[in-house]
Amino acid sequence: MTKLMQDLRSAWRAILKRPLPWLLALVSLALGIGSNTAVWSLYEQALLRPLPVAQAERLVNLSAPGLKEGSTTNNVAGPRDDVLSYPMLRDLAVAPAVGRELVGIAGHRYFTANTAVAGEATTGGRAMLVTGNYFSLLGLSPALGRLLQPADDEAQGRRVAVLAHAWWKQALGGDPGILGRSVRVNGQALEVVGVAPPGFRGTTLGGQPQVYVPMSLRWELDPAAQDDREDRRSYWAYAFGRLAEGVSLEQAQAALNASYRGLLSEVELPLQQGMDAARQERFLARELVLTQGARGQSSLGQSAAPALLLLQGAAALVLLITCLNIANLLLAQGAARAGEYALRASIGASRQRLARQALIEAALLATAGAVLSLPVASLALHVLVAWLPGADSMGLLPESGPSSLSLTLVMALATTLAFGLFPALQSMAAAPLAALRGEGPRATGSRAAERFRAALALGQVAFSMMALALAGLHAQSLLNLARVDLGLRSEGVVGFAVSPDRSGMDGASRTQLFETLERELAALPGVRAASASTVPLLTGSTWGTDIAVRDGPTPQGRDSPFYNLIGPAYFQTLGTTVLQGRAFSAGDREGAPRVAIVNESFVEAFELGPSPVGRRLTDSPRLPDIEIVGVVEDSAYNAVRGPKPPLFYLSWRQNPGLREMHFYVHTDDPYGLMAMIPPLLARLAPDLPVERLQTLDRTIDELHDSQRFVTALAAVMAVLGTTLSALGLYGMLGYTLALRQREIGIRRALGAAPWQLVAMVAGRVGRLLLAGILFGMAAAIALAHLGRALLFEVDNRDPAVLLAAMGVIVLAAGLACVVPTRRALAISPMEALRCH
Amino acid sequence: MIVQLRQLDRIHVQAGLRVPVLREIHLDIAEGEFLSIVGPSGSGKTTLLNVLGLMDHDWSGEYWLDGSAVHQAGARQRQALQRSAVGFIFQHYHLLDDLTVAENLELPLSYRDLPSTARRERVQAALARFGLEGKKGLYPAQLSGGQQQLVAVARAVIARPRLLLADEPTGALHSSQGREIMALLTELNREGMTIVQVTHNPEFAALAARTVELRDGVLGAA
Ligand SMILES: Nc1ncnc2c1ncn2[C@@H]1O[C@H](COP(=O)(O)OP(=O)(O)OP(=O)(O)O)[C@@H](O)[C@H]1O
Ligand SMILES: [Mg+2]
Repeated sequence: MTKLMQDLRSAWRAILKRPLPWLLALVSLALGIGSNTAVWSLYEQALLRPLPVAQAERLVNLSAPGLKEGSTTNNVAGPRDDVLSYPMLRDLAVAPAVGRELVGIAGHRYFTANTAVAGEATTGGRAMLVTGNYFSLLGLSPALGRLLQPADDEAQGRRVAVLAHAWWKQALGGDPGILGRSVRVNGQALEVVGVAPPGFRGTTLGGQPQVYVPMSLRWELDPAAQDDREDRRSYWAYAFGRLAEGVSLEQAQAALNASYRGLLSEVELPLQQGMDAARQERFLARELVLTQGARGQSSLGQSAAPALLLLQGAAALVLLITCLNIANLLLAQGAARAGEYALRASIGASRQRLARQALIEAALLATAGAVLSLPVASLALHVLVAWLPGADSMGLLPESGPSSLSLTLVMALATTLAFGLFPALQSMAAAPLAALRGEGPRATGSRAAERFRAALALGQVAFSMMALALAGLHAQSLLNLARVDLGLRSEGVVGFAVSPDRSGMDGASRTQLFETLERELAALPGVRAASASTVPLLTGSTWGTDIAVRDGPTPQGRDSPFYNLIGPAYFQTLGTTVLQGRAFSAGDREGAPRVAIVNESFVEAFELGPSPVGRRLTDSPRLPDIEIVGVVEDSAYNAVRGPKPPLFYLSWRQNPGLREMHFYVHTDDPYGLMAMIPPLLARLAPDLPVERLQTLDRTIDELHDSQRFVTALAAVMAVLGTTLSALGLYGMLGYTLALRQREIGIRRALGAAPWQLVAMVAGRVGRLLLAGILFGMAAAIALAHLGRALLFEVDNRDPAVLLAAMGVIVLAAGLACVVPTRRALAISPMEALRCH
Repeated sequence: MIVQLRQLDRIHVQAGLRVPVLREIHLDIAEGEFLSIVGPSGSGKTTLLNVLGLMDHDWSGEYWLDGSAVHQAGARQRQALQRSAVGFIFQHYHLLDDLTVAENLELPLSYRDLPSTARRERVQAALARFGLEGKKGLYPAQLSGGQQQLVAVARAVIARPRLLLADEPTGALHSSQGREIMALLTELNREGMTIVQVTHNPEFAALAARTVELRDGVLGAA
């Protein structure tokens, strides 16, 4: 014990004697490990963290891929394959497998809702429809009151709600008196019966709700819902189950499919009208697929996965640079102390004793590094989550789980021990006699060791170059996204939405309101055109429905193309060119012949030939055909990236009963207009809030949030990496030049002018830089190629980006070299030679 | 006179104390002379040599080197003067470890404006003259002390300095090796090179035409 104290004290003294290398190593460690912890925390939250529920590993998600005729709507909880119809969900929940292989099956679906507790301000957000067994199947207990129960979700549903813990805390200050009070969800009053447990944010990452409500209330609460309570051809509900003890996922899937097949053939098939034999076969061949559900249901993690992986990769690189730094700095340190080690050995200290001291020094460094990296990580996380757009929509929190913290510790220990102890041991192994003759630094500063250090520095430069180049490529990608030809105008266009049925307006008055709005908006000063649109553009939302060309083939996989219900001035408002035929007119209303407009991709996908105008579409055997009256150019629909989808447009006036409507207005003065819209609406429909009022440009920006997130993080990594490399270069050069004092003295005595010495140093550093840059560039190009899915129309060898990255490296290296070089040259040759 | 020192004082500041190391040095060295400087350890011999070799400029007094007033020269001029006139031999050879013999020889030439063919010729000539041809590709660590000092001498004269300064050139050598080096210096001197050597060896000191002695920084005849 006293020996340990003694060692500790002497380690401390050794550190104090030469604090600079230790300090640099410490800073490197804290930055490298802190940034890794931060990125890992996000990665873990988005992709790895299981739901905070009992035995999450036994949860399984249901997916029902295959032919789905009718209507499907999906959201971030999962793709179209995953959604079930409500009747099917209820049937499956009572299938024989439930109670045997599965403990239960629960359903959920979030929807956008304006939520307010009496007396408080209304907040826009989400509400989550859940089946009565949702909470009990997850094994959750309430923070307050009770959670929803099966009895709440029977028939018409009880008008009750459970608040999300975060919202309760945030909006209501955690008021325990909330129980029994009323919460208004989209204008409907519900009784608050409980608060969900803290930390539980629903089963969909990116869909965190404010309140949980019984699923059977859907048709009262969600104005966007169609009347599809009993419709087996309307797919919208997400479902998950819990495996019974000892049952495997495959067993449960097989058992559940037995019921599913029966339901398909006996209940659903008879309902599918006009289905030909081939399609019937496809319909019946459908099977449920069960997948691991420990992390809930969300496609957000999946879509963010490549980006997060890339970030993790970048963070790993920074860690590698940190390791190289530690190695380089401590190697130099060890070399400088070779004489000390030799002296100690010559006065009888054993190898073990020396090794132990080195170990203690490394452990001290590791501990300090780990401790210091925590505030760095926390700061980085807060900055990332608060400042980077996208983190919010992913619901990422600035917190590190236990796995992140243990990772920090492991990283700190591993890096310092592997990269700190090794050099110390190596310098101890240096011939003690040579070291004692005062040739210590020269002995370990031999050409081999110097080459090793140069290789380390080269590695750092290579990695920084790579990180910089990748950050640059992503920034370029972001720029390109901003420049995409959307096929529609975003500049000067303002959008907003209204949901008049939330204030109890009937269908006829809603239609009236929409028409009035189109007219009055167009009459506002500065407005050039205005139109309704049922689909909010460029938000990821899609509407799809079955449609076929009369006497034409239905292309595979295009059973339900996307569509939009629009007003007459839609194309004019959004600057989309009508190529053939005409746009809609106010006369295309209920009672008039049904008409449609299709885009070029639709013409191609449905093989409509050179003159699509006049061809007929059919969407239901009960309804008359729809005549194509126009063809428009392709335009972006739900997203900016990717090919523009086949689209058809219908006149909203021919589809009465719409609950929610978006409006787009093209104006000379978007911000002036945005101020005029609420008063206009207040005049036309008092109490009807204006929703999602913003410029279309802003909407597009939001769509790029995740790309910006990646770019910003990659940039942070690049800056970190470059800083660390510069530190490393500084350390290496400072040390090398100190070792080379004698050489510099000799050279000066032999007639070298200072500039010639500077040129010598620059030449050495330059060669190293050049090699590092080339390696880093090659690695960046290869990585960018691998991750090309993330890059939008960026050449992975973009010369401007690569040159800029190179410039940054050279600049950083130059700065890192100035001080050691000046210091080395300031020593008089006389002085340098006197030492020997 | 190639060297004229007048009233030269050199003061070291050590721990805040001003320690005079050279006091009122008055020294004339004629062109082609061979001068030995002797004296006890710490008397200022190396310091004097550094002043003569323009490695040190922190002194007061007057110093004419080859007709130029060093005491009035700026850093650039001193540098140019040193390059054109001075060669050094050190007690510890001070060869560069990671350069070969030939590369060490070429080093002084690389700091002077010489075409590379001329450089190679001179290196070749020096290798031949000093009998180092067989060793040109070796590194210093592969040579004996005597051989290393031989290379150092060759390196010191390769740029054809007018003034060769040798600080205990034999100090680290066996006497037989030392004699060889001294023979070499004598020969160089005969060829017309002015040589100033510092030595503790009375036998070697006697090889020079004139010997001066430093005691506590004061110069006197030996
Ligand atoms: N940089 C310095 N700072 C302070 N004092 C110095 C410095 N260099 C030399 N001295 C002092 O100047 C005096 C003369 O040193 P110098 O090296 O010239 O002696 P020397 O005659 O060459 O001795 P030796 O025979 O041991 O080589 C010594 O007392 C020495 O301690
Ligand atoms: Mg001396």
